[in-house]
Amino acid sequence: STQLDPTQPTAVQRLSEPSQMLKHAVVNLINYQDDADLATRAIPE
Amino acid sequence: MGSLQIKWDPKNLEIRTKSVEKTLEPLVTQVTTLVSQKGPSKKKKGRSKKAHVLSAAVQKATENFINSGVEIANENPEVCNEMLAAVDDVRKTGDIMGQASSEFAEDPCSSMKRGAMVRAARSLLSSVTRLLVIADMVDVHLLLKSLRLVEDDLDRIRNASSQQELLSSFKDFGRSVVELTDLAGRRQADLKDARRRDDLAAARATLKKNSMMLLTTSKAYVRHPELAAAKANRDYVMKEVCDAVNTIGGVAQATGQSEAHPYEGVG
Repeated sequence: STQLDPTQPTAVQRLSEPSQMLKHAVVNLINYQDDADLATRAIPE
Repeated sequence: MGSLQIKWDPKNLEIRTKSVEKTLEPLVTQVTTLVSQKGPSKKKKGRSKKAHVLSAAVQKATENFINSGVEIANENPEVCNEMLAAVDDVRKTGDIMGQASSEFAEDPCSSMKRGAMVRAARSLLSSVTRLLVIADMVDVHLLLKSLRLVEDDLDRIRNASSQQELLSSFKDFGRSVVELTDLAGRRQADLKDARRRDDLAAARATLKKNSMMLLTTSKAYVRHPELAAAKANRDYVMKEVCDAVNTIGGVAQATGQSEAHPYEGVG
């Protein structure tokens, strides 16, 4: 079975959640350009 | 117990387990996709928070990641240095990312600043990968620690000169071997390399099959040390168990691609 005992998480499992959160934060920030682009295009010349 | 030496090179970012791969894969895919993206994405627009808020979130998330890393390092003094070095690396790349993201937040329309931030994100990703790989080393280290306990108990069983001494050593062996089998089982489930998974499964099966035989043959030997057959029986089972324990240690520390077994391939 690939199920691991949740009461004794491994070191990798303990880092898994913070690394996922970091990933989401980085992705959200990089995606911000889309909104910035939109704002630029929305401004009439 | 002497200090345990891990044979891996932490600079080598080889990912051997499914859990590290599973944690990293979406990270690599998403950052790579975003970097290679030419036109605007098809994502819904206008839902982002202010850039400064997003930048602060990255810094906070980096800090949380670092704190978890330091916590694990402090709990494992034997691999503390490697772990802390990797944490330092995350801290440095995190600082660069923080700086780049703040500059981007000031001027979100600048492609140059976005480019610099993406480069910083890649370095941060690389150091996060290293820390995860070292965390995997910590897990292996714990397995090796448990393995040393089993080896010590086996030595005591081998040298036992009375039934009482033998039974007491065997009781300890029973406990330590259960823990080792459990850790080896987790490793087996997590390893990417199929051959090594098989090797671990075989070693665990050998341990299970021979543990009780070790007790009966050892009892017979302690009672009749003068009988060559009793010694031969005990030595045979002891060798089987020791080989299985060595296999677990070898597989846990193995790096690179496994080699094909001579019986594999076309018959």
